[in-house]
Amino acid sequence: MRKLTISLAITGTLLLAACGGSSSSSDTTAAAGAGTGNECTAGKTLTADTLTIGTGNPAYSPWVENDKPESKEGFEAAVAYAVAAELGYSDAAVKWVRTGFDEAVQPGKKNFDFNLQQFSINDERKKTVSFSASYYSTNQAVVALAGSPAIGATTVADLKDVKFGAQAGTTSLDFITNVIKPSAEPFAYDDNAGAKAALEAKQIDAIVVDLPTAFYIAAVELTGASVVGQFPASASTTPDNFGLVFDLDNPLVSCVDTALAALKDNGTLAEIEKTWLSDKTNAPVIAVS
Amino acid sequence: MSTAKISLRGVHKAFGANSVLNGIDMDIAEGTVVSLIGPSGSGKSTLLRCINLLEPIDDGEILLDGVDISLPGLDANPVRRRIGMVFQNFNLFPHMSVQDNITLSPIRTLGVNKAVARTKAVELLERFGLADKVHAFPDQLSGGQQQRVAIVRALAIEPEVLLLDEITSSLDPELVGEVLDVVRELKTSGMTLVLATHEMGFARDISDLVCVLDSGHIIEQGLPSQVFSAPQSERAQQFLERIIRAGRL
Amino acid sequence: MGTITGRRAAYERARKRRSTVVATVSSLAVVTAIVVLVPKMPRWDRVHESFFNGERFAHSLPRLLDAFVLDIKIFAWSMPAIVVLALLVAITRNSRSAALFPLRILTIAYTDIMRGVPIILWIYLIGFGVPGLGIERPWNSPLIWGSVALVLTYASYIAEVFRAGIESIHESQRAAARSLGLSSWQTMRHVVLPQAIRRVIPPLMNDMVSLQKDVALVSLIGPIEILRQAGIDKSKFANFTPYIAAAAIFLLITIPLTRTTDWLIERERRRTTGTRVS
Repeated sequence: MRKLTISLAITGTLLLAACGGSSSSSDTTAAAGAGTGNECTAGKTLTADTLTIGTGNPAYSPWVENDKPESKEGFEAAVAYAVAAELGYSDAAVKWVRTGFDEAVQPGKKNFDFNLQQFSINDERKKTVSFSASYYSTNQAVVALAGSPAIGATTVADLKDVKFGAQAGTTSLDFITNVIKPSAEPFAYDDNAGAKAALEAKQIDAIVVDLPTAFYIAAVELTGASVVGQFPASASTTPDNFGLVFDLDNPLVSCVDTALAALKDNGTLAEIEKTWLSDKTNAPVIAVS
Repeated sequence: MSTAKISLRGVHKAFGANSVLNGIDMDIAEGTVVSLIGPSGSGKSTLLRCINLLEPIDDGEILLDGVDISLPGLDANPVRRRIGMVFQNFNLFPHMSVQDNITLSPIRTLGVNKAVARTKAVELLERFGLADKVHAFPDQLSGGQQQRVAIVRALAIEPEVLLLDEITSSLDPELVGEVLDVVRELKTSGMTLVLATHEMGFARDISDLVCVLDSGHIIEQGLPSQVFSAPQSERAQQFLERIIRAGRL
Repeated sequence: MGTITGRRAAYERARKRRSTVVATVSSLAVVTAIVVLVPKMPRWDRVHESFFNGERFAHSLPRLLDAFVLDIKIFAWSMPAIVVLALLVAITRNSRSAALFPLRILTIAYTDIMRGVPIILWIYLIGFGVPGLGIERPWNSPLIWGSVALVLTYASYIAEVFRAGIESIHESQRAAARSLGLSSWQTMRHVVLPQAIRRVIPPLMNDMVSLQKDVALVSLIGPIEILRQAGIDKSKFANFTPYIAAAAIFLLITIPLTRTTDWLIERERRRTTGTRVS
């Protein structure tokens, strides 16, 4: 919490410094009104003077702590508020809405300006929604309970006879089908809660999720579970790049991209990552080829 | 000691508050034909249903060959193999052929071999002129044919007594005769028959004993010649008068 | 006699000809209207693209058909179990023996409780809950316990259907059977049940059609059957056509069933209530 405040303070200072001297290519200079966006965002949000952000219901750790994004605790909560601040919105001008994972990336008008729920940027989704630049990059990982045949796997071949489960409609499920290619068809669930229930009931041997979620599941949500390993980026597998999801061709995207670029440059994003996800990146590597 | 095949002593039966049989005493001698006549609601059907234990009696006793078969809790199935019943509405099993209707009980309750049962069924059907209907279904038969099959079905388990509950009341007039012929033939063969009937002429011709029922009492009992020509109780007189006036006697 | 028949026959022929013409013309008109006017509706392009996309249809179809095999399997092993359990429950409910009293109470509780809760809840409770008690693989499979949930719920509905059938058999049938010396159970087995089942085949088939679709609920606890597969494709390609394809596949199975049911109902009606009056 304290680190976050410091980060924000640093960000604010840098922003002011940037405003003062640089010749930025876009018009993201001093806030237009008192904490209600800047010149870029003017007229591009759903509601004037408000930034409406969407996330999952419930929103899981370590992305949002205690399902309370307003607390600014959790990696994605922190990123959301950092972007909002960068765009000139005060905390009070940020409004949260909850959506299902799937419905956020389906075609149709959105009830948010942008949504973040560990959405991986991919071409198929780009046909129906627009993404910001990536704010986080991670790998797929495997979670299993003690005694599972997945424990100790170091290559994909070791996982061939494992019964997998994953959330339907995610890149994790695709990963199982296209990269791991186990002999038994995986089970699909409406959400990770279902996958966890199945894991505990020993109906599946392992779950595939993104690495930070894998750590959270293993450390907090399930007893006796561990992260078996992560799949690194390689020729056959691309890492998951998380992007903020917008209405298709929403002009707000460019404003947000500029904000994200600034947050990356000034180290805020790295700081947030370090705060919320630092202990969640060390897992053995499972070779893919 | 009664040597009657069936004896009823003080039989009472009520349905809820409605008292249907109010102390019936009668003896049915073996090989005889007993007719029960009387107005509707007098208890004829109920009496028959009590004899084969379809209805449990409230008080009194029913003896079959001197043995009390009306003991509460007694297993009725063996009794029913000895006392058969034929109903006003035939009650054939519509989903089974005539042959299956007839052979069902012999096979299942007497353990008779299927082929033997079928042969017996055909014999019985021949006896009553229905041999060509052995594979027909009940809905393909006339009322008279169905009732005759119902009689054959009841005979197939070789009962000692046959109860006939108004078996011609649902038939068209021209079909009544063929059924009554069957009953005559049964009498000739020496079967003990108890029939509830509205066919007064038939009852007079065939019966060894006629009982007139009214409101759950036997108000007149005796030889047909007595009962029909010179009834002694007033109620019986009134009843017979009405029958004669309706041209049914 | 001959003249009257001839006259009516000629009239009927002419009337039939006329009605065939009218039917044909009106059907053509309706079809033409649909084919011509619907594409003219605003946003038809979007709807066509989203729901009736030929390429998406062809692309998803093989996977959907493959997944549908699972639905068929679940139906094939659930339906017999449902019928058997439902019959047992119905017969127990209907029995008059004192010894079976506790069982009768149990069946009343069973039908009340199972029918009182949405099937989805039972799928979760039984499909996840029971294996979660620590059953070993393969006996903890969601296919087994999901099917158990389906069987228990459907049997509670179908038991009531059987019970209605059994109670609709007139008491006189029982009277006749018992008078022949048949026991209570023999009466039920040879006389009452065959008639009762025959009588309730239409509602029974209705429930069968229902079950055909509800097997998809097992997807909630993991197995990828056709509905889930369609959903996965829908998410991946952001197109609803896979759902339309899945619907088409369902209809391939359910329509023959519903037509057969109608035919059976008509046949039964003809048998019991006579020819139609004009």
